[in-house]
Amino acid sequence: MTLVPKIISLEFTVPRYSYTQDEIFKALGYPRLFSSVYTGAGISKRHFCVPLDKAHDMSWQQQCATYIVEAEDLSVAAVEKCARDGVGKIDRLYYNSCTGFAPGPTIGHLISRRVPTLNGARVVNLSSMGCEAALPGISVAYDYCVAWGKPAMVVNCELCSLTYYPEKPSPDKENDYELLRGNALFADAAVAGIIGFDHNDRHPYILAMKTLTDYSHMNDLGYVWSEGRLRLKLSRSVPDTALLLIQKVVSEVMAEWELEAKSVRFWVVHAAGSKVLDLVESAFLLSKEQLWFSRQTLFRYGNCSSATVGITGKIIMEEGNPHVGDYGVMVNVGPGMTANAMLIKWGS
Amino acid sequence: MTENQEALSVLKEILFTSYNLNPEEVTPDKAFAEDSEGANLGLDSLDVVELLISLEERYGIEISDEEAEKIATVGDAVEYLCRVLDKR
Repeated sequence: MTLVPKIISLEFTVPRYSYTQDEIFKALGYPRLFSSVYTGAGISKRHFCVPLDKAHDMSWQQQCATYIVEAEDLSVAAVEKCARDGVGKIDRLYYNSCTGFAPGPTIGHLISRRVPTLNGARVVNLSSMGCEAALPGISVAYDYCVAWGKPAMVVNCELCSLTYYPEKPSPDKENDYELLRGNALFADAAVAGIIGFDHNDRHPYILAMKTLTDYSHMNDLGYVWSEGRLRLKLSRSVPDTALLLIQKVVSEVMAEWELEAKSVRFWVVHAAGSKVLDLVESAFLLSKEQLWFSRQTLFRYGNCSSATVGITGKIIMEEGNPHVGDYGVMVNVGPGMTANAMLIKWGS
Repeated sequence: MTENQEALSVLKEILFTSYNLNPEEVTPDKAFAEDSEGANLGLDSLDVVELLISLEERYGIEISDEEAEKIATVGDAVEYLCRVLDKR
């Protein structure tokens, strides 16, 4: 008999500083008329690991030095919550992040040193995958579970505040205001999840995964080096391109289990921004309830890059009251442009 | 051409040039933003800001935050422009 891996634990943490959209907009100093881009983003507040006034003035080296300290602490907090139910020893850790650089030892090593469950674990660091990293991370953990019959942990830690790129006095119209738009959305968080085996009906099985990349949109999304630091690339066409990829990849994953959109109760769609969620809702004719927790993620935490879908998953586990037999689809997008979809099911 | 017609004509021109919107669709009852209830022109929040900035540059005016919040439809924009231009 083949055992099917499940998400047996999922937790997240956010950093200590939090700001409303209005506070962030005022601190960034953009021309007043752009305030609606911030206040109308469907976000109540966002969490950052550095105070706003400090984020303005950091060099790339200072950002990376801060990243190493904060990513370790935030990830350890998420990992300790995730491992608190006595999961036993875990000997594989996948650490994902695209918002900072640790030259070595890696953040994964720093985490495994501090958390007894992970002491001695083989650490695999995945980087530069942007918002899509969560599902490939789960995918390799899934493969490890199937191959070795043992659980693996996945951590996604994104400190987007440490990729802040200063632009003053006016926003960059030439690049279609991409920094202004990015600064209206991104936030910091860490998610830790364990992929493994148990008999708890509250933990969903992973049934199917698909990935799709459209290389013609390679330069629409990601980071570039500019003036000695990372600068966000965020084309305005991203929501429309993302929708096309999401439609294909989700349709494939649902077709594998002969499901229709209305049969999937929980839609864990990467809360990239309200426009992406609106487009997905319309395209799949979803009810407000099906997409509720994705919108709540955006509202409560903003776009936390690769940590975002994990946050939504955790909120569903806590507040969604999933029943045996419920299906969920997790969807995210990132540079490439790449979209991933994963079908999960609660119960046997 | 009345002031109303002129303002509407300027709006049509900007919306055609910047967003390729058919001038015939730009009518006073239409809201600008895609998330508005009822008939709208499908602009996102950034598009609406750019439109207001274009109007500021075109007429040499400064649209306050309070006024900007009230400009939801083509008719609102026309009415606002006529009011402001009358005062000059």
